[in-house]
Amino acid sequence: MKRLVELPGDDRLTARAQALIAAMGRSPESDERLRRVRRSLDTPAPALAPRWVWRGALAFGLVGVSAVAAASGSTWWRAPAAAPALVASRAHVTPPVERKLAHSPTVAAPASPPAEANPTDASVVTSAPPRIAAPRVAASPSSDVARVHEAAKALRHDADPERALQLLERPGARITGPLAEEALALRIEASAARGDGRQAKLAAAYLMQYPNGRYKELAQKALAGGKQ
Amino acid sequence: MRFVLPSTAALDVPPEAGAEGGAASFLSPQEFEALYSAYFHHVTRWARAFGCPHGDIDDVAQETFLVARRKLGQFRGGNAAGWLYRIAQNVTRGHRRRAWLRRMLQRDPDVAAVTARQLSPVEALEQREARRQMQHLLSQMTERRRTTFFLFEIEGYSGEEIAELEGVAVTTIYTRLHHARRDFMTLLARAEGEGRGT
Repeated sequence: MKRLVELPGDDRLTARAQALIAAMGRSPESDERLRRVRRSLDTPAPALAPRWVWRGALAFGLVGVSAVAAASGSTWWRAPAAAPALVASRAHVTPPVERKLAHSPTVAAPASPPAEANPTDASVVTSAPPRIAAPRVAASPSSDVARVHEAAKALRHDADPERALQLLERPGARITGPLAEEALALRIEASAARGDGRQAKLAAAYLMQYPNGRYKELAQKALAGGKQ
Repeated sequence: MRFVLPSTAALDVPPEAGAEGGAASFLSPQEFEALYSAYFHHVTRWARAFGCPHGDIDDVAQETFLVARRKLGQFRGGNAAGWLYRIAQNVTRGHRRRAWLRRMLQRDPDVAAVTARQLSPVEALEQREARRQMQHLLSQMTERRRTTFFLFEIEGYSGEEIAELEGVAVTTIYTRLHHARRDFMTLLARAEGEGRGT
C-alpha cells in the first residue's frame, strides 16, 4: 500500500492532503533529547506515598466523619427546617386532612373535603395516610431563580407578559435574593408590554431601590412613558 | 525514507525465561540501557501518534521508561516493541487526561516548534495553520484509525511494523488504514468546502 505522499497529487484534495502531511513532518531525532530524558530517569522522584495510602486515608476519613455524625445524632446533613413564612405557606397549601387522619380517626370531615379522602371510611382511616404530592416550595432560592428564568423566557421568547407577571408576582412569594433586581426590571418590562399602566409605579419603586441599578435606563424610560 | 524498527533480537527474551525464572535478563541495567537507546525515539513517535501534545512528549517518554523499568520483572519476553508500545499508549492516555491544565499554562507548542526552525514569517504561519488543520482533522477520527494513519502516513512505519506493535494481523492494519484514509479525505473535503464557502 502506497503512502498518500507517494501518490500522484493530481486532484486538488490529494495535493492538499500531501501538503498537510508534509507540514506535520516526522518526529525529529535528537541525541541531546535522548540524553536529557535518560538523566531525568535517574533523578529520584519526590517521595510521594503510594496511591493506596491516599485512598485508604480518604476512606478512613469518610468513615470516621460518618461515624462521628451518626454517634452524635446530628442531622446536619438534612435540609434545614423551613422558615416560618414557608411553613405558613405550606400549611396553607397542604390540605389539613392528612394530619387529622393520622392523629384522630374520628374527627369530623372538613367543610369541603377532597374527594379521595373520606374520613368516615374505615379502610382509609386505618391505612397509611394518602400520599399527597409535596407542595411546591415557592420561596426557596433555586425556585426564585427558576421563576425569573421562566418569566424572562415567557416575556422574550413567547411574548407572553401575562405569564411573566404571573410568575413574578405570585402571591406570598416575592422574589428576593440575587435576582430581585432582575425580577423587578422584568416586571416593569412585562407591565409595559401588557399595557396595564403599572410600569411607572414599578419603575419608581425600582429607582428608589436601585438608584444606580443595571436597568436604570429601562426604569427611567418606563417612568417617563407612564407619566405621559 | 522508509523507517525500520531496530532489530529486537538482542533484546527479545524467550517467553520461557521470563515465565519460569521470573528474573528475565532485562533486569540488568545494561539491557535497560539497550532498550532505552533502541526505543526512545520510537516512544516519542508513538506518543505523538497517540495525540500527545508536542510539549509533553518528553514527559510521556520519561514516564513510559519509568513504568517499563518498574515492570521489567513482569515482562515475559518476546515483542519488546509491542510491550513498550502498550505502556506508552496507557501513559499517553493518562497524561492527556491530566494535561488540560498544563496546556493552559504552556505556550502554543506548534509555534515553538516552527520558530525553532528559522522559517520566514509567511512560511511559519502557513506551516502553523497546516498543522492546526491537521490536528483538527485527526482529532475527529477514532483513536485506532488516527493512530494507524499517523504512524503510517506521517511517521513512516510500515503496515507490518504497526501490526507488530499493535499485536494484530497485517490485514487488520491495512483495513484500518483504508478506513482511516477514507475518513481523513472526507473530513478534509468537508473542511475545504466549508473554507471555500465562507
